[in-house]
Amino acid sequence: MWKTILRRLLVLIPQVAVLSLLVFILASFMPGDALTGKIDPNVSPERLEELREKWGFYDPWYVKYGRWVTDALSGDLGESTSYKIPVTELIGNRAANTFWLSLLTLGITYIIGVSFGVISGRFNGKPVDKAISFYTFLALAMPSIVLGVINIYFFSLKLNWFPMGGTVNVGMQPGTLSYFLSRIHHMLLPAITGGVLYPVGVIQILKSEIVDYKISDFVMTARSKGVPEKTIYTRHILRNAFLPTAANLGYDIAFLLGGSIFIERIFSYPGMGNLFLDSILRRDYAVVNALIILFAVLTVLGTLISDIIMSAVDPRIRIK
Amino acid sequence: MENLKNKRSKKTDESKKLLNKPSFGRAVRIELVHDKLAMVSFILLIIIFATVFIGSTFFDLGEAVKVKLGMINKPPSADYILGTDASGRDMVGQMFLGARNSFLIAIGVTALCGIVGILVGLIAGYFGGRTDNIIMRVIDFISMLPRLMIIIAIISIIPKYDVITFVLIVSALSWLSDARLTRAKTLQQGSLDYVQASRTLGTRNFVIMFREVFPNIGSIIIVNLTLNLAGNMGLETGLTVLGFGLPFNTPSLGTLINYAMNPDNLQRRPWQWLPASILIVVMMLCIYFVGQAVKRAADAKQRVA
Amino acid sequence: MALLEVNDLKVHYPIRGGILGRVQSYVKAVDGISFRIDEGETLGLVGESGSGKSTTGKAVMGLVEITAGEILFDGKDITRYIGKNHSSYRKSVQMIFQDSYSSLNPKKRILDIIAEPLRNFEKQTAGKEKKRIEELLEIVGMSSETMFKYPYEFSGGQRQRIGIARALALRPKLIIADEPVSALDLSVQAQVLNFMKDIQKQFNLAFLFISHDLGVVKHMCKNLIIMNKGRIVEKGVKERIFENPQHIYTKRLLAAIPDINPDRREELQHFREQVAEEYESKYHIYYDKDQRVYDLKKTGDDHFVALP
Repeated sequence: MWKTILRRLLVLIPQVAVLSLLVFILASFMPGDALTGKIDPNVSPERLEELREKWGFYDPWYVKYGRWVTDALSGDLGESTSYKIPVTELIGNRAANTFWLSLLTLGITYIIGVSFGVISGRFNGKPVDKAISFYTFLALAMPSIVLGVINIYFFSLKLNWFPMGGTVNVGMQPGTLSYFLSRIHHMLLPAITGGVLYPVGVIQILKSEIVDYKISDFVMTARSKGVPEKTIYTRHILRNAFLPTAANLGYDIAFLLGGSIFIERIFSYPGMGNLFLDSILRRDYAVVNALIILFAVLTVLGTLISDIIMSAVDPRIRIK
Repeated sequence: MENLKNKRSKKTDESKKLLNKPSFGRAVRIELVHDKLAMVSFILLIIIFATVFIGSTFFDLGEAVKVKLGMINKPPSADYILGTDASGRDMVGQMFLGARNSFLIAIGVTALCGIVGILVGLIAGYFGGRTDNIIMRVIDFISMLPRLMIIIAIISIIPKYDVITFVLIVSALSWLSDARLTRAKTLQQGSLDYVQASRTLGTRNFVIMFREVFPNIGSIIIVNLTLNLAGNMGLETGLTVLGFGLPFNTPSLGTLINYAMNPDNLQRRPWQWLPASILIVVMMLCIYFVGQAVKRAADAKQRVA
Repeated sequence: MALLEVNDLKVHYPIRGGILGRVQSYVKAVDGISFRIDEGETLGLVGESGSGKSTTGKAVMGLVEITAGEILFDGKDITRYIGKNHSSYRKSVQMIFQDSYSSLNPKKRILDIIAEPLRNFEKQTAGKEKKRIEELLEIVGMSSETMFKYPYEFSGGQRQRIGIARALALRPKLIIADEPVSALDLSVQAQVLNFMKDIQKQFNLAFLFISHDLGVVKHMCKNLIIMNKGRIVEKGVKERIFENPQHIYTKRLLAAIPDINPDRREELQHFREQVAEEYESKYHIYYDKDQRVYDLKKTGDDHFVALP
């Protein structure tokens, strides 16, 4: 298994290399450059040209790419032209925001997913299962952006329960309890929006596992021995049914970190997804490049983690 | 001997499972009749499409998109059932156009992905070996890309884009699941003797792929495409609302929901964005319910009827 | 001149492994076998599953890639063209499959199934094509109404006949029959086998008859090949092998043939134990240190055995 993991990580290297090249070429097609935004009456056009020459804007793309790669390998992803700070620092700040939002969303997703999945599996075919199944279809059919708009309209504007955007109230002192509560308060509506839409996968996996285990031989044996129904569930069925659900976690983490663009945007939450859209609009390509590659690597790692959990908890499945 | 016989009958059973009887169309009808929710969804979808397509032909579209300065941002009334927008255009006309465009775009993306995915999947699954290896490497690479981000990045660098380019860009990054599914099913069928038989009878590879293998896996792929259709509608809406989808002179459900991005519209003029929001959810929900019934019909084990 | 001559045929599959996925070793499914079939002859190819007998059939059919060796048909070396479509070889050599359920495409009518080879090689009008299919169905003893039905409407034996009709469509000289009756009920087996013998006489067909069932092979063939571990352990005229088996593997196969006479049960049981004992004790004599079967040696007229 270590060999397999090592091989998957090795494959990642050429993949990232090709991806970075693609992203770089893509960026070189984008109109304008970092200095377009820096037009300053105090700097003469001649001086700008000089700067462009000096910073190598007229070098062929492969020279630029080579420079970018050597910088990136030493941990320098360049400087954001719109925020005037190093890209790594900028992304670091925003990554924390995205991380906390994703964690809260994940929590809500799994609370709903696990409880509904268990109920649905145990009462398979009963009205409560049908209601849950209707809910999963509704969650599938609801674009996150639509639910976001509707939630803001009702809960922020009409009922005034939640703030409309941002991360924290103005004037709060970091470190205090009220600061912490304010942050949670700001994250809650976006987290709920994602958290009610994403449990579909967990519910479906858990339900089908439970339904399968319900008629399995060892459960039948336990039942025929007179083991109480509750014990059958806690001791025999759920313990087995949770395994594939746990393995799903890796995919979910990658999906959440990457799929948060819509929700972060609609709630103007300053995370990585929102940063990406801002950078695209401001032609801040150093940030765009770095984010795309980061998300690609996260996707691969998330899938790998899921595969590892899967093969660790279920000896029947060996990753290839 | 006993052992051998068991092995044999097991193999035959498995082949039987893979070989569906030729009655997919009938199975779908039976499933629809027995699943009331799917039947209602199906009828509702037909009503929506009939209204949208026939309606948009009869409805005076010139009138619908005409800017009327005297009628700006009017709430719903007897004349304008869904009110008007910031340019004084009737929201009903906008809805007709928007729903039609959204649906056509989703169909375009789904069809294009279906064609590319089926072709690539058949080639990879049928030829196997090195061909399969190379194709799967490419698919693995593309599937690690953050799809949404790449679409947004490409859209932002194309100076002039329209519906066609939008469909092409989204499709270019969305055919992977269709290809994966087709490949897996083709691999399964390829192990069956009828494919080998065709080869010994001198049938050309591409003929075997499309005339022999495809009819046996088509129903499962149709199911997948139905479900993709709803997903693609959602994707178009999301991108357009963010401003990275259709150009704003092309009304779609996304451009209508985009009215909500203006806080003033969001708070004070729900008639401009709420109906479109509800319509897209209803349409997607109906497609999923019908798709679910079609899925059961394609898989004999799951059939309700 | 032999109709089909196979010389030193090898089919090897690479096993990949390690971090870089390099070829580490090979599975030698078929490892250097030679045989010949004359016109109108039936050659039996016997062995347990995994012995390489099916792979041999598929290699002759061009369904698997040949690693080494040559295949001559009518005296011409066709090894390089064997997987290609437009050779006369394709028309002259056809195949009957084991699983009659999966060898007919469930989505096609019988008409289209039997017409498939005709449409590939003989462009003819729809009327002529239909007439030819009627003829073929008559040969296999089925009525012309079956044409418009689908495969699932027939029993296993009937489906196998449809498969044979399809194989006969191009008037082949050699048919590879890969376990053609082993998926059928015993009562139907004899019927299909006798029918195969009939058409053999009628069309002067040669068969390569692949089977694990020695009883069936005895009924069908004049010459026999016994395969084990991708190699031939014994080959020759049927009577010699059945009456005087030389290789320990052949002896074991023959001992396993069931006997319906209950009076001999004890005796047979004893005989089997004896053979099994001999197999254990003499195994190392018949296989070399790499568990490989030795090359064939002539031990009599038309009798070859793999001995050290």
